[in-house]
Amino acid sequence: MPSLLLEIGAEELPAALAPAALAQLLERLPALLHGQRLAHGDAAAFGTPRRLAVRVADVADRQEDTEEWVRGPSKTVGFGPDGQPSRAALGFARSQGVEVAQLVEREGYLYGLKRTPGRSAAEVLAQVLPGLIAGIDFPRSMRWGDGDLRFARPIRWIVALLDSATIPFVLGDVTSGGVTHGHRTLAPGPVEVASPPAYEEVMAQARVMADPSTRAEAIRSGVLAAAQGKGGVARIDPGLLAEVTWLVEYPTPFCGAFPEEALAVPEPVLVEVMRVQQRYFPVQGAEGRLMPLFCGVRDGDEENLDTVIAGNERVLRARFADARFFYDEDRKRTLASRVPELERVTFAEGLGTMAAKAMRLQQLVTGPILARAAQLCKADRLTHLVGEFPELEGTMGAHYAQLDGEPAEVCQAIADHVLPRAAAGDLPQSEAGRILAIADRLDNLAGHFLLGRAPTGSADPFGLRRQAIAVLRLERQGGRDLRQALRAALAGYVHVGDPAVAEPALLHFLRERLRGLMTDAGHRYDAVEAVLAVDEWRIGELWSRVAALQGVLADAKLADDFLTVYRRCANLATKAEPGSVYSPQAATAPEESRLGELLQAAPRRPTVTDHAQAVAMLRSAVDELLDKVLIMAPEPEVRRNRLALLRDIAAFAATYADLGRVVQ
Amino acid sequence: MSKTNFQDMILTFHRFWADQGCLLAQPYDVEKGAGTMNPATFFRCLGPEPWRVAYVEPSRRPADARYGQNPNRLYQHWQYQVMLKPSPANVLDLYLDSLHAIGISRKEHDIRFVEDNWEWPAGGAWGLGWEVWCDGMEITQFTYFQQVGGLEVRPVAAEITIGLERLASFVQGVPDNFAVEWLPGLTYGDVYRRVEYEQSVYALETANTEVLRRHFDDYEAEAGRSLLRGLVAPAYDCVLKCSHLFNLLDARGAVAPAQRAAYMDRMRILTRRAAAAYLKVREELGFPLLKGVAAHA
Repeated sequence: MPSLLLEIGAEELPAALAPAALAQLLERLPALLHGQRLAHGDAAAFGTPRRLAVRVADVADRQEDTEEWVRGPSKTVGFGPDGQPSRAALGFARSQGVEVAQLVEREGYLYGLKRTPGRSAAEVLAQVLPGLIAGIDFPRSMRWGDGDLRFARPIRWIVALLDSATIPFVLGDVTSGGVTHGHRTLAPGPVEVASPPAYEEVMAQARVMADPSTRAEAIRSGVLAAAQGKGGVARIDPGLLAEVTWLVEYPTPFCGAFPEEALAVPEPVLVEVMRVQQRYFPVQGAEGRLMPLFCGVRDGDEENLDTVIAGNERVLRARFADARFFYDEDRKRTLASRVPELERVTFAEGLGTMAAKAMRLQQLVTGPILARAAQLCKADRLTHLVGEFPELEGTMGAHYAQLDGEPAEVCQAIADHVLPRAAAGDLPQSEAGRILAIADRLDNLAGHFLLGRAPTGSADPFGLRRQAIAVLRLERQGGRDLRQALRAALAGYVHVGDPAVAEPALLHFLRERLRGLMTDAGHRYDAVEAVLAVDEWRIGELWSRVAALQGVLADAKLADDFLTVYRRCANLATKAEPGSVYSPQAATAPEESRLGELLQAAPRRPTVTDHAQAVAMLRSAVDELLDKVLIMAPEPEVRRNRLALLRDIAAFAATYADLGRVVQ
Repeated sequence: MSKTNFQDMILTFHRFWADQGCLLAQPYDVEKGAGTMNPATFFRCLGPEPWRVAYVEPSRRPADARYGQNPNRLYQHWQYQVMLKPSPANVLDLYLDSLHAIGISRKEHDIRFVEDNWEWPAGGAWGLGWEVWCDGMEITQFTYFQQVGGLEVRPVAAEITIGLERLASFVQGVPDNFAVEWLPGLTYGDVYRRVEYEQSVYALETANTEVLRRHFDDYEAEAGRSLLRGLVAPAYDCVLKCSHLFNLLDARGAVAPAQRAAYMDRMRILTRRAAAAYLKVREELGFPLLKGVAAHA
């Protein structure tokens, strides 16, 4: 069976968008074939900055034929009393491509079996491939030339082959064909693709490493080897590797050098210059300290590599000279002296300045260390280096604070308060940093929620989901009540929104994120639901409860006793009168008195596991009462007392988790 | 590699782009922050009429003023600006050929197109494109205009913006803009270092912010008055004045956060009105440059 190749040739696609686009293509092309009743084999994806390609093996020549019963006129309309077909019946039969004699009657109507012969794969694909290409979603797309077509960057050629035959179609200003283009420098110009299986061979000839994972590995190993050649170890940042992979078609890694004296600038600055501005991999020595080396990746071969290295070295020297200039400028003033100028920096639209934010943070924390850290932590935004490299916020603040002679704990808290930087990023090392990091994010969340800016759908322009997740991760280490901290944060804003509206919205928002974190961590969905249904805002405690509840549920005997006590009591507890109180004196049955005494004596355990044991101990007494004694006694007094007891038992059982949500 | 001097580089670019049918325009004599703001690009990218233009444009960035002391940051630098509308299918090849013409060959260097999108909020403008890297140095901003003056750019125009000092320092192998050879025996520093110093002192220290504010208000009013009369060109001159005055105020640290958005809005409103007025005028004239389209095609 033939194979199919689709290659979209484009001007350099953004490295940040190309992989996702290729993934869409790899998912949708087979789905499209399936939807078109074209049987097919495995699909493989190829991609570089200039091309997105998918090849599908063993594609059927033709669509499968289809048969469908189509309802026509009623029998009385279709045939006269004489049994002769009317014009309606003749017309219907003709429209379905069958003889009148082949029409079948069912429930008073005539049906025809319409057979649709499958069309050729080439014909179908010519029709649907343009839509597939145009339908690739990009977060940002553009038009070009005279056309209206949108894509991440202009499409310049399309290869569409079914075996050696072109699948002909036009998309915008491009006509599909069997001609691709080689590497811009090493093999410029058009190259014919004879057939889909030849694609890798053609790409290799045209000096293009078309498989992204092969390319990534070539870069990784080549960078490591280049650094090793100069006695260093390259630090491979996975995000940078992914980006560089999509910046080149034919990678040639190299190792260059920079002047030793550049190392006088703090290491994080140098790393950031290399990573962000130049996409270089830093190189370290055996003891982990930066060496005056860097690894870059040329898009091309070894020819004139020295010129390229020399050029890159010159650029990096200038970049480091800039960084050095900024660093020296920044050090001319103390960090503390910049604080008043936060008045000039906007925090967020409608939420005032950074100066006001720093004041609020000082209100949210206690103790001299945290107060000082809160006062200083935003001041590095006014430094040149953080202006150039926002990722260095906190790091530079801590560095400058240290040079100013601020206490070490203050510096550490400043460095830590920006952590975690990513969803799964590192957490602060210091307790003060953790507290400040939470205060900073709660202040952000509070401000935006007070303005009614809760994220909707996929839109989260202020990154509030990420910040909520950070708060929850940070709070997990501590033992305090998050709701209290949140109220304090809301109270920090004066005349902005209504805290009575914002608080429940924000609590709900945090609850949802916590649910996601817990289920992502592999906890049972029902255990998570049960634990989160209880009004509790110590985040570490909630995590312990989920883990413990899961352990209890895994113990069949314990779980059965624990849940049975709850369920048997909870069923009737709903009938208990509000405000009714169980009275031992009013108990009339011995089983009732006994259960009441057991509940009274049951230990109040602080952990879910011990608590479940205590509840499970009530099992036999609960069973006896419910099996032998009529709860819904005719006498109202008796009934009320017994229902109140059952309600108390159910409530006791559900102290740490709403057991009604457990599925077992 | 022969060391093309600064003015030879410009002449080579001129010859190259003239051969591509570009009008060689001259710098526009009102201060501006970027070559895009020259009417030969800002207005001509609007509407259905084709346009090809190349020119050198001084770009004034008061906040980048460094007293002539920083090797790479200048109060004013020169941009080589090309705008091709509609963007031709071979536009990247043309661009690479233009680099070849000044001595940067693809075989010898590593030329990369790295995603970089362009936005000019006060101009109601944005586009997608790249910064072009040569051996790790950013030498060009390449943009496909999608919207300018709040209007869809249709057909799409491709804009090539090259920082001439930086490119020249790369081609000549000198690390410092001021060391660039302008012509034999004369460096960029000989011509501009003192000017950089004076402009820096003014932009960062002595510019009278009260006067700047007042002038902003005056030019804004003049722009509005001219637009009411359909006088697009003088109105746009006033808009450019406002933009430069704002940049000076900003460099002096005289724009508070709360004021910034308001200034931006005022400029955005003016540029939008100017763009719409220009398009209306061209429409009334019957888009005269469409005449040549059939012939070109």
